[in-house]
Amino acid sequence: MNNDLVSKDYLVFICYFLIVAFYGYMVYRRRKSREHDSKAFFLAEGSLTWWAIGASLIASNISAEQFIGMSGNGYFVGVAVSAYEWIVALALIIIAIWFMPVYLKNRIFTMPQFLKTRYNESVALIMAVFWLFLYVFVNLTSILYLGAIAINGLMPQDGVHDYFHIIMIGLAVFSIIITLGGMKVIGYTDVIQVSVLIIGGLATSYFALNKVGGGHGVVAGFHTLVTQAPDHFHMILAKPTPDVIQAAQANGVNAAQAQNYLDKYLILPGILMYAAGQWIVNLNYWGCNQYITQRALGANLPTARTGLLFASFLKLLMPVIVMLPGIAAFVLEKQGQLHPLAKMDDAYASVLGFLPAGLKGLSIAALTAAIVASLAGKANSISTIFTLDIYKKYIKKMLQKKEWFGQGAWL
Amino acid sequence: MVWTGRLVVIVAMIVGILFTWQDLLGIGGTGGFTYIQKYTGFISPGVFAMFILGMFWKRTTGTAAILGLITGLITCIFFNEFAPQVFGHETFLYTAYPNGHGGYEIPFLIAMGLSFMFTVIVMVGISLAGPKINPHAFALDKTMFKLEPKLIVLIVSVLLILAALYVKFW
Repeated sequence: MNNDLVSKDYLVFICYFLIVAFYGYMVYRRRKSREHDSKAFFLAEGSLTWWAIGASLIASNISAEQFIGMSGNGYFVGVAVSAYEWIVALALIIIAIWFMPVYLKNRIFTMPQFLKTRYNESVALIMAVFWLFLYVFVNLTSILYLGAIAINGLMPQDGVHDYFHIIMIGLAVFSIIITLGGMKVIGYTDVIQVSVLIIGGLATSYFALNKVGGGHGVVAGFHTLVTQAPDHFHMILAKPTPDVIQAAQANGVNAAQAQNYLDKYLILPGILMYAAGQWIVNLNYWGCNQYITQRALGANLPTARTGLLFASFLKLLMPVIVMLPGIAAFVLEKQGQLHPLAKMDDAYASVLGFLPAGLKGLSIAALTAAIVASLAGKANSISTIFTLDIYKKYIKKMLQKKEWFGQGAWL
Repeated sequence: MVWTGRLVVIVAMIVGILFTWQDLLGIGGTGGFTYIQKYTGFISPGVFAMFILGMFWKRTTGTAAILGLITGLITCIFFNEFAPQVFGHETFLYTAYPNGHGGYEIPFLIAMGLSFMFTVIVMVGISLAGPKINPHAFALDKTMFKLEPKLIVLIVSVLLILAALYVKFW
């Protein structure tokens, strides 16, 4: 693997950031003079077509941590992790048929609004606390971790320097600056960012498959994957037999291999995960979330439904860019073309190493920008939830009451 | 208000870094994707039960929603962390497998399903004890679920492609 970045890569990397920042700033300035709120602008234009709805659903879902994390699972387990993409296709159909009309008919556009209209303020408060914990301890931490791991893996490796912590701080500082100063600007750059991420993803899969197939193209590469990693191409893992469990616990020769299988099954428990787990994950993410309802705001029911079904088609294609590079990394490691990976989440960065000079710089730039955008997005949500749903409603009121009593005592 | 918001951004990021610095949460060993799914899964059974009952069952009450969220969280933590020690590895509800660190675990996607089931039972029970007519209930009628023929064609195509993918990679 060639991990060295040439000057062309650095140049592309810097250019990408300058172009994105400049573009975002220009759009921001132009829109500010005409219309203050970007969403109002979007709606006023009446540009909510089915393809815009579908594309923006995918755009708000796609993220750097998805590429890195899912490729990690692709490397470890294989195609079975695609359930997280493919069951979404079904979930979107269910949401289009049954959830969407309920939201539209009852004019529900945001999640807090749902909770207050259908239930009460206490439910909204509990949810705000849940989301805060989730965003800080699950999302923020894992994006920081996965982002730092991936970018560290792309740095020239000399075995002495480890940039993991420096990169993590860099990502955090960068995203704090953006959250505090230019959240609106980053909102406008979504379109370029997501396009580059998808094109970069397709290029990564292309070059990885080509490498696997010994330079005979992607089809040959895919066949090589299927023949050299047959166990990675099963959607439904078989339930571990008592023999496997016993082997994992005994100190026999097969112990490590048996435990390895159990670890895979603990993540993706075969047919049983389709009984409830996968549906809860995906219907909850896509159907009980502001993303969907807000995207459909202003559109009529047939348009909203067509948009959701368009997104459902796109979801069928996602594993090619978010999961396949992981399986490619597994086979390349087996072929000896990759150094053995220390962790599954190193898979995506290791495969990026096969991109030609220039394109590599672009992919790294897109990935870095996407990580920062993810972090800034989460930081912004955390701040909004805390200030509006908790501080303004409860803490500020409590402080004011105390102040008032305090003054009373003084008098 | 603005300053509170800014302070929250900085504090949240510092907390995030502190917990990730030495990988205190063990994201590396679990795998980033699994980590996100597993711990998001601690709250989603309760949240999903609360949403779906709220949308489609008029009698669901606010009290049921609150207790549903709490039941969802508690049962999920229980099934993920404690159930194998309390009820054993093999019960009629689940099978737990050795996790390679000396303990037994129920696959988290299955724990989520169990938690969802218990949450729904609790929510239905509490709502049935509540008023028969709920002023907060959503308007529902059968005609709004009707589909145009064009949409049915799209749905069937997605289903066919999906079926082909699952047959190919079963």
